[in-house]
Amino acid sequence: MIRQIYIYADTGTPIFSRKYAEVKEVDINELLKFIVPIAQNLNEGSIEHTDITRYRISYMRLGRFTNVFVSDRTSETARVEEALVNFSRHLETLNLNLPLSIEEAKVLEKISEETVSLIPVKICLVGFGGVGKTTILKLLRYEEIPLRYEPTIFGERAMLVIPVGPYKAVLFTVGGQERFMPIWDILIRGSDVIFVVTDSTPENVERTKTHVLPIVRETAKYARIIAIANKQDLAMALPAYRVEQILGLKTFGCVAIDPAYREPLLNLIKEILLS
Amino acid sequence: MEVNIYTVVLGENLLPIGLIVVKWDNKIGTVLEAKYPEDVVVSPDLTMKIYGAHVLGEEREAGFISMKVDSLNIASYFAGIEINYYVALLLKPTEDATAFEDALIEVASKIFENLGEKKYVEKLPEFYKFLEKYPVLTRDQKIASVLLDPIKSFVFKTLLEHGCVTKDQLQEDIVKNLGVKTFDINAILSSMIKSGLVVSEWVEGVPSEVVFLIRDFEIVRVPSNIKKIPANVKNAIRDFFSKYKQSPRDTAILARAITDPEIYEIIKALKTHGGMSIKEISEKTEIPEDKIFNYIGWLRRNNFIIEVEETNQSKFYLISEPMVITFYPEYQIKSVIERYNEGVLPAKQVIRYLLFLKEAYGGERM
Repeated sequence: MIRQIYIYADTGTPIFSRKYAEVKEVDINELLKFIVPIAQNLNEGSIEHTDITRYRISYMRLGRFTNVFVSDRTSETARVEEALVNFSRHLETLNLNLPLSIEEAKVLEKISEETVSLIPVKICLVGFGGVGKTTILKLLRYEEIPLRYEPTIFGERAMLVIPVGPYKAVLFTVGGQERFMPIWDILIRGSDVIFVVTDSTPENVERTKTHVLPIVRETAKYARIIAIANKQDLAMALPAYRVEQILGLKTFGCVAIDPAYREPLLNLIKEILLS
Repeated sequence: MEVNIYTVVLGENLLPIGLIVVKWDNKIGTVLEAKYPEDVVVSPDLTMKIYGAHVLGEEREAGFISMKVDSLNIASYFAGIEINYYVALLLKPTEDATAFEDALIEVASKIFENLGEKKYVEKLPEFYKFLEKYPVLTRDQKIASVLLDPIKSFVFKTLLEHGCVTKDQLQEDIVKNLGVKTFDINAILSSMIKSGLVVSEWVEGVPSEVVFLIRDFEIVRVPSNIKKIPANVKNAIRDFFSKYKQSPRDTAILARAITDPEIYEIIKALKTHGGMSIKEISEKTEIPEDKIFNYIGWLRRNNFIIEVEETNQSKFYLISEPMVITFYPEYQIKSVIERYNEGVLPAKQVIRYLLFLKEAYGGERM
C-alpha cells in the first residue's frame, strides 16, 4: 500500500503532500531532507528506492517535478513503480502553475487518491481448520454467518465491503486442514496484515505458536501480524490477554458468530492500516 | 504459403463451454486475464479452486490436471509457479477432460510464449476451435501436426539427426535456434510420446532426462484408389503422378490437408463417395456450402481434386490424398554406434537407446 505521496518542484520546494496512512518508527520528514536532493539528481524518468524498516521510499524525477511515494515493503516493487510512473506522467500533462491554485491542489488530491487506491491492501486470515477464519471473513463482509462447518479448500478470497480510507481491501483465508499447510505461503505472500486465528483453546493456541507463526513470520516479513482469539464464548477459551502472552502478538478477543464483533474488528483493521 | 493448424471450426458433438487464461497475483489472487467466448461466466471462486488444485500438486511445477468443480469438468494446464499462469478448458460434465490434454498443453504453450502485452488474446478463438475438434482428430492427424508446430518440428528434426538428445540440450537448442523463451519441454514432448514417436527416460550418469526417437514418420501424397472413376479422372491421376516430385513445400501442404479437420473431412467424403458436387459434399460433411467453395479452391490449387463436367453439373473427384506413414528408424542403429565410437555419446545412453530400438523393432505401422 502507498501510504504517503510528496511532490517537489525542481527548486526542491515541496508543493504537495498527502498522508493516507501514518508511518511509524521512521521520521519521514528527516529522511526526505536527504532523499529529495538525491532524487533531483536522478536521470529523468529513472526510479530509485530506499528501504527502511518495513517501508519503501520510491522516487522519480520527471519534467519539473520530483515525486516521492512512501509505501509498505509488502507491495511488489513493480506495482509501486508502475503507479509512480503513471502518476508522474499524469502530472506532466497538467501544466501546473506554481504556487498551486486551490483548483489545481484539488486535482492533485484526486489523482493521488486514485493512485493509492490502485494497490489493494491484502489481509490474510491464517490458522488451523475449524478456528473460524471463514466465519470472520463473512462477519467482515456483512454476510450470513455459516452455522455448519465446511472446510475451506485451498483458500477463499473476497473484497472487504467497506473501503479502508482510500484503500480497497482484499480478504483471504487459507484452507486450515494440514494438507493445505504446504501451500499457505502462496496465499500469505504479499499480505499487508495477517490475522493469526485461534479457537482460544490451550492446545490450539500452542499449536498455532509452534506451527502457524513460523510460517507466517518466514513468508511475510514486513506484514503486520495480529492474533484473533476466537470463540471467546466457549468454556475452554483462554482469555485474549493469555493468548497474547503465549503468542507474543497483540490479540483481539472475538466471537465471530456474534455480529457485535464486526465493528470493533473493522475498526481494528483501520487502526492497523492507517495509524 | 501460410500454414495454420488452427483453421478448424466447431464440431457438432463436442462443445466445450469456454477457454480461460488466469494469472496469479500475490495481492489479489487469481485474475481472469482472458476468456473465450466472451459471454462465458466464470466465478472468482472457480478460478481459485483450479489454481489451488495446481499448486497443491508436486513441487508447483508445470503440469496438466483434470478435475470436476460443481457441474463442470475442467482440463487445465499450469505454467509452473515462476510464470504463475494457467489455461483451462471448461467442459460439460459429459465430456472427458483428459481427451483434451495434448491439445490444451499445445495451446497453453503458445499462450505462455505470448503473455507480454496479451498478444495471445486475438488468437483465442482459433485456439478454442482447435481444442473443440482435437478429441476427434485421428492418430495420423495428431502425428502430422508435429510438422506444423515450429517447436515440435524442430525437436523432431533434431531427433532425426541425433537419435537421442537430453531434454536440457533440446531446451537450449530451442532457445538458441528459435528464440522462444517461454515453453515447457515436457508439454512439447507429451503428444510425441503418446503418438509413439519418442520415449523419454533417465539414464544413469546423464544429468538430464534423455529423449529417444523410436519411430520415424513421413507424410506422402498417394494416388486416389477409388475404383469407379471416369477415364479422364484416371488420366489426370496418371499425368499428375508421372511428374510429381516430393518437396518440403508439398509436405507442408500435405500436413495442412491432413490436420485441418474440415479439409480432411472433404477428402474423406470424396474418397468414400467418388465424384460429388459442392452441394453433395456439403450434405455429407455438414460444412456450409460457402466454406466448401473456399476449401475446394485450395484443394484444386494443390492438386488433390479435379473438376469434371457431368450432365450440366460440376463434380469434383479426388486425384491424390495425403497419408502418414510411420516406420522403424533403422538408420539410427548405425548412427548411434558411430557417435559412441567418436566419443560423443556415453555408453549407458547408447545401450539404453539400442534397447529401445530393439523393443520398437517389428512394430506394425502405427
